[in-house]
Amino acid sequence: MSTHEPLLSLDGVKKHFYENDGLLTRIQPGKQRTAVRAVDGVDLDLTAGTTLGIVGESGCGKSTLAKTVLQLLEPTDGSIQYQETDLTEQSDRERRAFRSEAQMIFQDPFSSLNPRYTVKETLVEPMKVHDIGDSKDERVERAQELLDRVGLGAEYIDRYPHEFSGGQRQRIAIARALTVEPNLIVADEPVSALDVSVQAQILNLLRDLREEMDLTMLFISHDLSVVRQICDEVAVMYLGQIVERAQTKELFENPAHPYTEVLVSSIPTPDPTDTREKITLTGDVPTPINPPSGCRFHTRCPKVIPDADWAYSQEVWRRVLRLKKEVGDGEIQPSVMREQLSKEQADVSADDIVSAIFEEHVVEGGLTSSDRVAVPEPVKATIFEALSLLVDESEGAAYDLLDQEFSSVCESAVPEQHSVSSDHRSVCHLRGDEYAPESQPEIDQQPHDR
Amino acid sequence: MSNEYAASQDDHGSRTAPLDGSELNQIERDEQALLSVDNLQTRFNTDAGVVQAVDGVTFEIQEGEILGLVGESGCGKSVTSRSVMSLVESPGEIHGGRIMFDGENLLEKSNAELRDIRGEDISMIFQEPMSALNPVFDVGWQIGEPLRIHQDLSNAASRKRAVELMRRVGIPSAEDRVDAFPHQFSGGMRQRAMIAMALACEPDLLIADEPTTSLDVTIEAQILEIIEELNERQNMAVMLITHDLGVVAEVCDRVAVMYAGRIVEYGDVVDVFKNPRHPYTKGLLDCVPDPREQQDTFTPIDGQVPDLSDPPEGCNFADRCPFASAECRETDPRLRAVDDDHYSACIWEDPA
Repeated sequence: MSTHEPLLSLDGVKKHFYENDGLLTRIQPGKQRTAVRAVDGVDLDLTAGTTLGIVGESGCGKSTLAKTVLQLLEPTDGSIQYQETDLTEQSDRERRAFRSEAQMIFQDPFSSLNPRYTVKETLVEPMKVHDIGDSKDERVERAQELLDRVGLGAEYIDRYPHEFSGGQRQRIAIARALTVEPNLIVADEPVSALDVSVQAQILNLLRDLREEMDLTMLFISHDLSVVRQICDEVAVMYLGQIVERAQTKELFENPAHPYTEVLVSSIPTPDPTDTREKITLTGDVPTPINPPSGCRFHTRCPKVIPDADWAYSQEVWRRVLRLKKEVGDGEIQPSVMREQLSKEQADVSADDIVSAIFEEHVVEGGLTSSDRVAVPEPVKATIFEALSLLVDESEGAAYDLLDQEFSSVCESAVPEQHSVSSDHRSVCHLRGDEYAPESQPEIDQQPHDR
Repeated sequence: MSNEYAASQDDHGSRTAPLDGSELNQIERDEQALLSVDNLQTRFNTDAGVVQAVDGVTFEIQEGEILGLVGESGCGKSVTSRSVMSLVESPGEIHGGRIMFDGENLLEKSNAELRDIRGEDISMIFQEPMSALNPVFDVGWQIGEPLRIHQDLSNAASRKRAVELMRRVGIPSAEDRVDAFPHQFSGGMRQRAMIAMALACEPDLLIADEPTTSLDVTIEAQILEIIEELNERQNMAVMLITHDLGVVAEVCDRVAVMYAGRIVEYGDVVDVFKNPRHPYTKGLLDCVPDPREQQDTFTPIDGQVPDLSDPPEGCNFADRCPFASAECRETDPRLRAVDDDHYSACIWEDPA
């Protein structure tokens, strides 16, 4: 682990994209442009000579973050400090100079190389642009050296990209990134498109080059097994924010955020006798257009914190919260349920609809595959009351009742960053003093087992 | 086992016994298999020549079993699965072998007979759920379609069943979403809809071609859980095609490792992963990063997959194999028993 100053530091970086952002929308008073909050307040620093992995599911903003770091996208807010300079305030000329310090390797080697350039042209052009090498011959010589270095062989220098396989193309892309002698490499899923035997070759190459050239690397990936092998530190992203950051070993062996726990437990391992307990999440990633309030992970979190006076199991609590969210989002439609029931029985009363919704959305948890839970009577009574309001078409009142009876700090308060140990930080209420698991004995994953 | 082979011994362990009769005789187990594929040959006639994509593939799946067919891109695993469904299109053709399903050879069936089987007895889910679903029909209509075709259900009845099926594969608020169109679904949700459609007629065999490859790891875990649960509950056999050895280790009972159009190793999943016998399987397992520990270095498999329009004379893997001898470049090994219910297509029993 290097002890240098941070080479790169991000402070409150945001990148929002706007939908419906035309002139016509703006001058119409009733219409609003919608912001997609791809990256929404990221603080990060990267020590020189180390590799930091950014992991997360698709749509969590990790690629946008990579492009923002390299100024391929202009951040909506925040600052990006590279050594002494603030990248967001650079002139175009300064930015061009910065590009010889920082380079990117892209995911898809089929679209990131110009099909009409030979390998020589691909490699010589960045050197020309950044004034590296005195003459054409010198540049070509350097290109040949680099090709040898990335394991392709100088003899391929006059070929075109279509003559190469995916792994070979990725080697060319790596050579191209190295032509300008960069300090910082941003690699966006560099091995995701490759077969596993080729992936191993490229990972070995990246590891060797990093050491040889003392490169600092930002390594973006959805594949945690790869991240474990190549990164010194890992930051986990969820819906545009960093939720946990730690040294790689620490993060994998001692995850301190429920989302990281889920990610780590879901990776399939190539060992059929592996008996790790899997934590399966329900539902999909919410949209970054309208991210959940409080902690953004609370809608899927297996450890969402119950009310102080909640006396029942964690699973029931999660289902009740999910029901509340579904009611709030207008996802439960009594009219549809009425129609459904009327096919089976002659007359359908409001109570029938309430029981049917209760059965499907709470007892069965919306899915036949999840286990049925027994809902304690007092909770059931409140839910029935709320669902009756829903059937009476007063959605607002139904939601308010549920919200008043069942609310979690995870929905109402944005969690702060807590230190788990030195170099290990987690953005989760459970890591704060107030809600630490010791004071909340009910918090566990499988309450049925008790 | 002839004496000549049993006696010879050197660095690579003992010799495997050469084939005695057909490959299928070797690997057959006692009970009658639900699906048995015997020496399947599928080729593509291209401008560059004839590409032998599947070159003598033999395996079987018993009732209620999950077989993983694993290999890297271009090894012929998808073509094998499409051949079983008779979905190979021109310029491809199946030109040899037998595909026995429930005692009948699928390759001798007419198109009409095949249509009765597809979706009813064998169904398939594909990697790309967006391109496999029809964008102009609502999801409920598509999920109900096999029921209307095979079981003569009315529109209303098929829609009602569609809601039940959607619930079963974990689509929330199914009665609402039954009217939604594929573009309104997320990737994981589309894959669930595909699975619901495949399950509509309760098939005996489900062929899943890279069902989780385009999905995130949390969604992948959900989909695999559904497949495993249906396998257990309905005793449905599954043929799972994937490039991900982790997925195979997680859900499969048996595994067939494919390389360059052939199965090179076949057997119980724990045996094959714990004690791989074929150099390719060993190599493949060595390059998979293990998320549970940090490895110092990877041992990639050097070289390239051979050109299947001009395959090498001997073993297809000889050029990349660290243990290859002159003999490997001449003889063409096929599956042989190397252990109890464990088969490898290598002239050595245990080369490493």
